[in-house]
Amino acid sequence: MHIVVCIKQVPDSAQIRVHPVTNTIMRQGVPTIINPYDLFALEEALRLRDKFGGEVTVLTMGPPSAEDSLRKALTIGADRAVLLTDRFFAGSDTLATSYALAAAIRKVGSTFGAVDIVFTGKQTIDGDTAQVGPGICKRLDYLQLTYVSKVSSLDLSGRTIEVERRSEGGVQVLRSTLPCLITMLEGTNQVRRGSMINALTAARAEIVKWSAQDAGIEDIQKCGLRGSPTVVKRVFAPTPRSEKAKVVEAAGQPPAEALIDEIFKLRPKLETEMSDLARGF
Amino acid sequence: MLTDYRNESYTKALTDVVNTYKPEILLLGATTLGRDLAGAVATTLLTGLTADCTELDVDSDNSLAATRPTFGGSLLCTIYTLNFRPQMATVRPRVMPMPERVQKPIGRVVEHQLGMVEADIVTKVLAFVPDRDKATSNLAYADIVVAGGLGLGSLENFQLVRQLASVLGAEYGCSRPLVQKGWVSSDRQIGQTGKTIRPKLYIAAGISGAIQHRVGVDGADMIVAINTDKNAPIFDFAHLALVTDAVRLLPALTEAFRKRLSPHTRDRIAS
Repeated sequence: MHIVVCIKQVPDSAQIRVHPVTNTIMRQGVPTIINPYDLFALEEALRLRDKFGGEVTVLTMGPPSAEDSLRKALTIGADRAVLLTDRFFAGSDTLATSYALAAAIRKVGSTFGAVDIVFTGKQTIDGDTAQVGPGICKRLDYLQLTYVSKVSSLDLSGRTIEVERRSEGGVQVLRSTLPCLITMLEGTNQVRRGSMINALTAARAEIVKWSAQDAGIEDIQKCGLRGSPTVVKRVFAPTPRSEKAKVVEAAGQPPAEALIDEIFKLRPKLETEMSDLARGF
Repeated sequence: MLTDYRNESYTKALTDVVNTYKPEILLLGATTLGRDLAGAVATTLLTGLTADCTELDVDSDNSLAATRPTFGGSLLCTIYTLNFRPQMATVRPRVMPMPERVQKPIGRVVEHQLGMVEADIVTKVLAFVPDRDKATSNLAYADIVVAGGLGLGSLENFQLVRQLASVLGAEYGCSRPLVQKGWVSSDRQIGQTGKTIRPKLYIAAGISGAIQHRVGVDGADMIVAINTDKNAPIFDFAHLALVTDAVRLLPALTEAFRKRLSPHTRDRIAS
């Protein structure tokens, strides 16, 4: 069995700051991490490999520095890492990204063995679109299984798979066939820590590096900025409310009581409504 | 065939409808279902798709201006799909106010034959297990919401948020870092990647107020922010500010509300 896990190296969004004067992103010194949602995908892939045998290839598209994330994935337990990197990819939106990644997955299949399942996280923490998974899936014409919380069974000879997927108001139990693409929900498994030996091997491991041409991408016009139908026209900081927040001053009164007085002074109807609510009406 | 949502049948159906009627704009809800479908349909149609919009506008030349938070929710950006049609976007549930019901609708319902057969759809739904905890889905519709953020410092202190919510008969929620830390389940997350709320009163304790969070609460009628940092961005969009340690204030606030809202106290004030 051959599983491909698509990961993305992202800035640790908790540490991103916006310059107070210029409203630009201050990227300097912001550490990068593997998109946390992708780790659940990697873990699920490794579990299936451990149970059914086979190989896990991690794939990422990004700048040369994305190699760090691939080595981390190798440390966690992946068997092989592929970095898709080319200046032609700069400025890719989700449509262009899925085009390039789908091509690279085809190439991974023809080079290292036919792909049975592609795993990825439900979304990234920097783009938050959740569009690249379905995009890759449609381009490869795989079966699409998003927001999966559990792979309940896998029959490699019968080529069938059963999963539980988060749906609105409940969980769908689905049976589908291979090859398929699965996006994993967060918190669905405990991501393993890589062993010291893995870390040492990963540090020396050879990372497969492909340019657009190496990956067999036929139409460079479909990559990067040129291949992206969406255009970002404006980036801006949100405007503060016209009036600043009123600061509650507790004049000789406990702050909690001063706050409640202010709330009910500004929204008199709330007091009756909240009393009813508090009494369970 | 469309009774249960399945990506294959819905993608085929929606793609067929778009190819028949050729709309300029195609909008879907940014729900689990909507996002699953939108990504598949946009790729099949090879057009642009803007995810999770919080604001939509149409320019004078009929192009769709779709605004969404970006860079992990620290800035907003406006995105256009210039040379491709339809212009697609998914829109966060609850970010727009509910429109009034119109008496004489101008839209009409068109029946569209799909000519799909079940044998062509590979994926089968074996079962649907409804969520047991119905209360969690009420966060988006609650009148009063109390939420906590990283400023609370620990999982134990998050209980203070739950206690206040319990006294108020309110729903409780949290900002993203608490979900990432595993303190609170993700269905309680308020913000761009969580729930959008429109309560009458929203109390945010120890939440700094990144845009990621702000887009989820902008529709609240009154926002009360409690934070130790007087420069926290949440004070830019809150209505009432209390610059203090939420961990110390919350128990007192819970107690004060309990007294104030009890029928006994109200009767006494009334007399």
